[in-house]
Formats: sequence, structure tokens, C-alpha cells
Amino acid sequence: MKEEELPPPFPLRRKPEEVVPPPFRPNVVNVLCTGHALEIGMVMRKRRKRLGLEEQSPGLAYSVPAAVEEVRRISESKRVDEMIGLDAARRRFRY
Amino acid sequence: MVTSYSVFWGCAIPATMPQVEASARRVFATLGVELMEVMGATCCPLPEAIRPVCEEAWLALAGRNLALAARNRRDLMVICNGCFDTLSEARAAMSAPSAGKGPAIAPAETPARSCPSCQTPETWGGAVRVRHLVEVLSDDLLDSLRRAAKLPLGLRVAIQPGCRFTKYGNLHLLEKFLAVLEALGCEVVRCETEKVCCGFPATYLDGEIGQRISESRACLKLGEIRGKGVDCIAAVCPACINQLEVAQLRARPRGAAAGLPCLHLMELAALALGHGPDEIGLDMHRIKPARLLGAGGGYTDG
Repeated sequence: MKEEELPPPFPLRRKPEEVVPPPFRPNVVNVLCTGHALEIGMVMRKRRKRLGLEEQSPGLAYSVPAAVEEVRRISESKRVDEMIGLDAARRRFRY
Repeated sequence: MVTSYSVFWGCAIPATMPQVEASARRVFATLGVELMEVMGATCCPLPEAIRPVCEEAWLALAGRNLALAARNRRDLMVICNGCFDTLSEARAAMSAPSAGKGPAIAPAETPARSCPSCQTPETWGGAVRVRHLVEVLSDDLLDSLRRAAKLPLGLRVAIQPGCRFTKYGNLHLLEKFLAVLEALGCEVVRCETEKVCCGFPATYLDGEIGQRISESRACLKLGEIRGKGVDCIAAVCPACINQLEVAQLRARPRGAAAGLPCLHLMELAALALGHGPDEIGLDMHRIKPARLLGAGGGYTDG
């Protein structure tokens, strides 16, 4: 019997549809698409300004677009997007 | 000579706790310490979310951050417990791939070849020394901190070191944390549950079960701490601060006791060094530390 004709070893096992569990999805998308797990929202920007801080923390990927490009390159070279079904352009999962 | 460190802020502090960043910047400026930004740094990356997805990518992203930090040619001071854990582990894995617990990836492949920031061998991340904020304060700046403390806080504090702080039973950072708090004039009240997880990781579990586990953990700690009659909880992990504050807010409708403020070590240091609560944004906490400020040297919560 040829290999492709063999029955699957675990026929009742469900094919994994969600590689990344729902609670982790926003963080994974953010890290792989923006470089940071959390974005600095409007409220926090105002608070940062009030405290004399720059609205986007200096030096971090928030304010360095090249850093995000490098994260994308790493993610693509390690085939993470493909593994987890990430549509980086639309910042969401395909499934 | 001016002491200087590279500083790694992570995501949680700049994006959710600017008061901690503001406090840290003011404390180090007062101590005459220069903070050098790691230009282009990203998420450490988050071990809970990225590592299980792809360990190689997790390591490559951490390695990229270390390579960027190495350009500053200074020790890398990490403010967040989670980032400290990731960057320490990544550095260990990259420095001795075969001996470490990390995957055996050849140094040439770690960090990723495709990343321009990681190309130059001399800036490769294995060269940088990763140090926790508490380690820097305790080992390098304790005397300066004692001298600069204008207002010994005189607070009774419980501690929340966080799991990653005492990972693998390593207690040296905990001892340093206690030394720094004592230098700031705090009386540390020890609790049996201080090394128990705050419950934050359970928030990643889907649905109500995660919520219940997470809240029960936090309430276990908070119950004991309240019984000790402390003024506040001193923490060094942003996730723990968030969790202990949120758990108290959720318990309020059920008639829970008055809020127990949970402050980052940097905020306590800033207060001790004479920075006002308005200046460092203490009112940005979910559990307002008004009572604490009244008890701690006559501050008023503006």
C-alpha cells in the first residue's frame, strides 16, 4: 500500500482551525504588524503629554517605521504569517 | 563620569502606565543617571503570545532588540518583569545555544538574517548585559538613592514581586527589591502569599473560567495583604499592578473593602526623591492612592 493511501493515524482528531487562541489574537496581530503588543491610544497620549513625556515613546517602534518593517521581515522569514494564517496587510487572521 | 544605561521600556509601561515611565525618567535624572533609548526597539516579544506560536521568531525578535541595545554599549536596564524574563532567556539561548534551554539555533541565524539591524557581528545581541531595574538600583545606585531621598516614605508596604522575579526559585532579585524599598524608607510587611501568582496569566484563558481563576488568585493575595494593615502594595511588574487593580474594581460591587493602592517601585522612588504626586501622575491609577498619600509624608492627591 502506498503511503498516500494509508488512513490518517488519528482519524478522529479535529484539524486545528485556530492556531492562535482567541485571547492571544489581538496581541499577536499587534506585535507582528506594529511591533508592539499594545498601541498607545488617544487617552494615553494625552496622559503622556500631561506628564511631560513624548506622545509616542521615543525610539520605540511606535515612532520608528523601519522597526516595523524589520519585524515584518523576521515574521516572513520565519513563516509565522503562513503558520498562523495572518493577513498582515489587513491586520487580521484568515481563519 | 555620568553613569548611563540603555533602557528597555517594553509595551505595557509606555502604553498603559505612563506614570511609571514619567517616574523612572525623573528618578534617574535626579540621580544623575543618563538613560539611552534603544532606538527601534519593539515588543520584547510577549512570551505568552509569541513564543508558543513560533519559538524561532520569538527568539529572533528578542535578539533584534538585544542587538539594537548592544549598539549603545551600555548595560541594558529593563523596567518590566516580562521583558526582563524574555530578554534574559533570549540572551542565554543565543550566547550558548547548545547549553541553554532555548532551541539550538546557530548564532548566524539568530537574530534573523533578514533583519538589517542584526547584521553586524559586533552589535549582535549576545554582547549586551541584561539587568533588571531592581538590580541596577540595588547594586549601582543604592547609596545615591539613600542620599537623594528627601522624604523617607515611612510607609508600610506589602510586596508583589511577580512570578518572573523569583523564577526557578532565584531569590537574589527579591532581596535586592527589599533593600531598595528599605532605602526609600518603607517598612516591608512580608506575606505568605507574596510569591503566589497574581492571576494575570489566567486572563488569557478563554471565557468565564479564566476570569474566575484570575480573580480568585488576586483576591487570595489581597485578602491577606489587607489583613496586615499596609498602606500600599509595592510592585515591579506592570501585569501584576494591572491585575491587582482590576480585581479590586471587579470586587467593588460585591461590597469589597476600600481600595488598596498598588504602586510601581519607580513611583515610590519618585515620591521619596521629592517629586509630587501630580508631577508623576499618581492619579492615573485605577485605585487612587489618596489615603496613601495622606499617610506618606503629608502629600495630597491633587
